[in-house]
Amino acid sequence: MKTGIEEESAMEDKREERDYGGAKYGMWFFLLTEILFFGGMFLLYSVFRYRFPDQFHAGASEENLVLGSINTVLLLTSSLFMAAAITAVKRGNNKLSVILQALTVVSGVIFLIIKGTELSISDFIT
Amino acid sequence: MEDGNMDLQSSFYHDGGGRRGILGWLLSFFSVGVMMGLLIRLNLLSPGRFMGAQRYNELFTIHGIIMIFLFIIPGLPVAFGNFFLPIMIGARDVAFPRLNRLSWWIYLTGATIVAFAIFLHGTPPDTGWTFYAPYSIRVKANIALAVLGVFVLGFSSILTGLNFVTTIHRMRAPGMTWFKMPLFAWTLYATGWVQMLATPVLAITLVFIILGRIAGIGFFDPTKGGDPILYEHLFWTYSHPAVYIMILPAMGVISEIIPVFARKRIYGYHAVVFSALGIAIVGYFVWGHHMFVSGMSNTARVIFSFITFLVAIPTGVKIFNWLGTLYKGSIVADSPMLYALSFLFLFSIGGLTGLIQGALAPNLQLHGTYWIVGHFHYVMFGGGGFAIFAGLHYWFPKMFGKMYSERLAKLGWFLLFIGFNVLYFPMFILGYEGMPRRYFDYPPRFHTGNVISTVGSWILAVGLIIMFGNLIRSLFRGEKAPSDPWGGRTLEWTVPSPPPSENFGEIPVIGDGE
Repeated sequence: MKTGIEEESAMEDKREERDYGGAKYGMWFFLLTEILFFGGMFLLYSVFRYRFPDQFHAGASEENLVLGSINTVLLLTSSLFMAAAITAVKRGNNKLSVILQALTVVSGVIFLIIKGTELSISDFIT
Repeated sequence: MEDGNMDLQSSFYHDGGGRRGILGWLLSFFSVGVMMGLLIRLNLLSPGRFMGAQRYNELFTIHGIIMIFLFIIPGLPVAFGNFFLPIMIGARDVAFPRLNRLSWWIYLTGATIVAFAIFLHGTPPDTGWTFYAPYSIRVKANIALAVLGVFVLGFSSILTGLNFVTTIHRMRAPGMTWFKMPLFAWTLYATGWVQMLATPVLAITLVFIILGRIAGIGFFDPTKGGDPILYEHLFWTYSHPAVYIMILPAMGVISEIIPVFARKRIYGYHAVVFSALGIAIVGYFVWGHHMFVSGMSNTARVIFSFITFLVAIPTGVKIFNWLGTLYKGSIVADSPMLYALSFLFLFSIGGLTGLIQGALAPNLQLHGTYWIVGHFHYVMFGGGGFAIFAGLHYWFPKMFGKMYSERLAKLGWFLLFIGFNVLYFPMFILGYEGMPRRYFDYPPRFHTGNVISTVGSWILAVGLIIMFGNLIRSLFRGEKAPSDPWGGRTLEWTVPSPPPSENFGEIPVIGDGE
């Protein structure tokens, strides 16, 4: 793994300077496609929520409040870890950044475990 | 293993081997699709003798999935765009080479999943390539897998588009201003935007087909209060722009080839650029014309029909400019030009028949008939496919450094062109007379037309065999290609054939002359 990274950076050095502006273009374009992706989902969701408001309320009342709240907290905290990890890299503290990124991954995994528990309780997967 | 793997990957695009391998993969998928098409035609020669109805449904479904998602959509951007876009704008590579590699592996993953859907135990998908709900939610075939494959392929397409758009914004050589860019680069730019803006909508729609099957989410299932028409809307919101993903780069290839073989500059460069952008933008708002008989208000139908007619304007501008380029040109009828000229002919038929079915009254008669099958094969195969073959013959010497036999190429083209028309033109007549598409069998009065069409498919197949045979033969026996065999003026003809690693020794500086 390490040799791979070294090779890559050697390869990168041979070429022209890296184009951070271009990387930003790419990232914004990617975010645009994500908006359209999830936009489609929210469009569907809102159409049916508008058509069947009572059923949606009934469905929501069956949710597990505790697990849902924990997951919301986890989701936001993992984003915070990631943002902090980037700041740590900017300040040159790579070790702290690695720890923070690891925390992000760990909270992501816990999130998925809780989500799986929620779904199995509610017989979501038939 | 780790090191060897790394080497393989880092040289994946730079040495050109990978970039050429992609072409081989795509053409292999195309060949599989062709064989299925031949089997479909074989059944219609004598329904029931060669296969049952269920097998027939599976065949046309998989034929569609392979041809559309595995061949035409990635065809020009991935096989030729990856290779020539950087060279044409004077760059060493695309903006994100590693992302490019990733999108290729994603593509292969998607293709593998589709293959699983076909061969894994259970029934192969039989819904048609459109996966219309609610049938696709209820039927007991491997729909979820096939849909997942298409979903994955979509992300490959999105990343390619993103990469190309960024590349064109950031990587143009000094002096390569927007309006000096070759037209193929311009059409890839327009295509890249369509890929980014349309594909995610398809992706999320397909997710809900999968969730409808495994989790019982009934967004598209009328028995649960869902709406199948909503599926059609979301599906065509992507899939109509996808037609322009297929045809815009094709138009770009034709815009490269015609000036070179007419020995003239393109007539009305700016008009060709803006018409490409116009098609990309207007093409976003015409999806409703696929659903005129699905249940839609009259107001919506009139609006969609009107916007559909608007697409004909930028398309007409392009045809006019190509003809203007040919006018008083010194035309050299080499094989790439023959393919390009047949594109003009076939695509014009495809486009104009599109207008006939885009009008509301004829649409009632023509919807769901063989007319439609004839129309979209004229557009996608006669347009997109012939442009891919034009590009293949135009750029083959550059990509592989070998010249092919011009005589065999012309023979292959001739049979392909004749076979194409014998195969697909009778479909217009059959459809107009009312033969429905996707049907396994038909009343005896449609027999003659179907026999002619099937014979056409055999002529076309012979043409394809000669074409591919000629190209493969030249890989081993062809003469060495010079750097500019056709007299092309774009940058790819300034570098050796095949281009060296990283394309250029020195990044070129583009002056005012060309």
